[in-house]
Amino acid sequence: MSSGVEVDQSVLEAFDEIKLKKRHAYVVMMIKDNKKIVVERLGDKLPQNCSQNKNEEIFNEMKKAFGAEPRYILFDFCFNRANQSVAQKLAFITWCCDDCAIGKKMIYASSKDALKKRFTGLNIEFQCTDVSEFQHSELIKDLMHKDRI
Amino acid sequence: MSGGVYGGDEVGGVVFDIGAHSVRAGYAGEDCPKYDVPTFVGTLDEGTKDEIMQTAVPSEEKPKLPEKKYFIDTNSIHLPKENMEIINPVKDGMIEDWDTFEKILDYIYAKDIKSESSLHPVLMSEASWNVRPKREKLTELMFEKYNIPAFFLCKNAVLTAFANGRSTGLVIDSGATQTSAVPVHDGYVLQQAIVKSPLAGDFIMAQCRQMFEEKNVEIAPPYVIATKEVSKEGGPAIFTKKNNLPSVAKSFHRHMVNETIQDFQASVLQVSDGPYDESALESIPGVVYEFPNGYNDIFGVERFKICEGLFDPSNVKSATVKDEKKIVFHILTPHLPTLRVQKSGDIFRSLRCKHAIFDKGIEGSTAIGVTQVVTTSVGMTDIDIRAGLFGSVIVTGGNTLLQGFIDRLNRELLSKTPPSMRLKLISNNTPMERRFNPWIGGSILASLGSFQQMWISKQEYEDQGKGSVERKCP
Repeated sequence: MSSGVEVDQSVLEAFDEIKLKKRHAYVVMMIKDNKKIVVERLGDKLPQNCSQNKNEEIFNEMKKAFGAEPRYILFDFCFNRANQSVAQKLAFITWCCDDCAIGKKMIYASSKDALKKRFTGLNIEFQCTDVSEFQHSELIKDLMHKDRI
Repeated sequence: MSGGVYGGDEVGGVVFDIGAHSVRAGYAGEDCPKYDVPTFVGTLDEGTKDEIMQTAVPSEEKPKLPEKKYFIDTNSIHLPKENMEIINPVKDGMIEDWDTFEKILDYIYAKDIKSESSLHPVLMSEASWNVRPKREKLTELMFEKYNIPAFFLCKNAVLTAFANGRSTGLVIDSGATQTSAVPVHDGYVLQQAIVKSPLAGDFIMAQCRQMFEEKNVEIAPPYVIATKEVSKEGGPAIFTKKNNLPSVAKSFHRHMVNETIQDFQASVLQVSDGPYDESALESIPGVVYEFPNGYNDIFGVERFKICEGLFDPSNVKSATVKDEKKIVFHILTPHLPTLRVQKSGDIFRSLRCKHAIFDKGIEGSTAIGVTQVVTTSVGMTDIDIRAGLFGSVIVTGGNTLLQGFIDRLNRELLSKTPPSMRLKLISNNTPMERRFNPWIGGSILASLGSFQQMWISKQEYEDQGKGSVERKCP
């Protein structure tokens, strides 16, 4: 079920760029005027051979921009596998803090499905609802759990 | 009037949340329901009353069906009337008695909404396990009888999850008639993993009733009491009964007694922190409660013992032994038929396996404890989404307001959560939010401008018939 909120063309373009061309480290999306999901901010390109620590810095930098406001995020995670190699994985995060107004929670939760359906080939998804969950280290832990090599 | 003033977004929808205990209604966009009407309705067969028959205009063309008179809303169902029966059109979260349900809607439109039903789109919540014929019938009723411009039917578990900012989560609803666990994934209910148990508010009430029977205490609801005097603690109540009472129907009296017990439940009962341990709990000071008729007593371990059945059905207070071989375990509520269990030792086993005698017609309903309801439901879902469900366990429903309920559930679930997963229990703090969660969710959804394209419009209904509800409202 979804709320009927539309997905803007710019979101789909940004998805292609981050997924296929790896042009951005992240894409931050928001719902504009309760009508449309639009791109709010595009991250710079990930540096060559980005380390997990550098990746975390980028993540924290990105978080500062919106704080407790709910957002949809595509983030390219870099993390160290057990065998010391560095893996890169794109994940879709729904950030909707428990302290938000109920109206915002409702619209972000109910519109997510429409957005997710447009992201073909993306199967890593996180639902973050408090600050402790919305940490790079926590998400990496989950990622490694899901990472089957 | 020009519609352009408010922009195209203003739809003026009406939101209904239908529960076993009350129907919540109000305009979309408001932050809490304006009207909370009990689902219990008083009915009177007019045929039994001669005077009314005479006042009615005799007409030969009219079919001579006994006309029923309905009494709706808190005030009128609490006034004792001769032969007035109290009935409830909702069973197992689904609408059973359509005539009575229509009367409730009529009443809400006339007294509360106070506007033409044809002007407002309607968003209704439904039980997650609602069946197709009932959904279609409801759609038909709303379009044909109330002539509404647009309709949407939404599962209450989904609304609750959304209102908590989650599109994936496990919604635990412990209300009056049952405790249920409904997994929601990406905004859709996973039907095959819904687990229900009749151990909920009405079960606690039956336990209280039994306790009072054992204590030989008769509960006098407020409507029979004329005057009361101070009585000794634990001693018999000293009160005089009203003498001009009409002869009321049994169901009316039972409903009034139930309400009295409900107050007792809310103020006295508590769920113990850990498994029931009589010797440890005895040291906790008791709670004094005074009934409307002046009877008062201190309740000590009983107040923990009654609730224990919710979490540990093996602890269900065994019924009074009237006959060694046959124990009758009465659950005196309008929703649950009488349960008969053969031997005392068999109580637990029968409770578990013979769900049919508890509530006929519910598939997969067994009397299992709350924690087990949760774990069974999660266990039936795909392994990949289990972590997501444990991470968002949303608790709603009136029964969860019992003191200590959340703490106990949290503690028990922690021990059942796989170590690789994180458990998070979400519950609204205020009783109002916990009761009105689905309504508030529906209110926000219906007020969204973008949601307009999701409604089943009258046009669509006329073109495609009632089957459109299955397609548009999954």
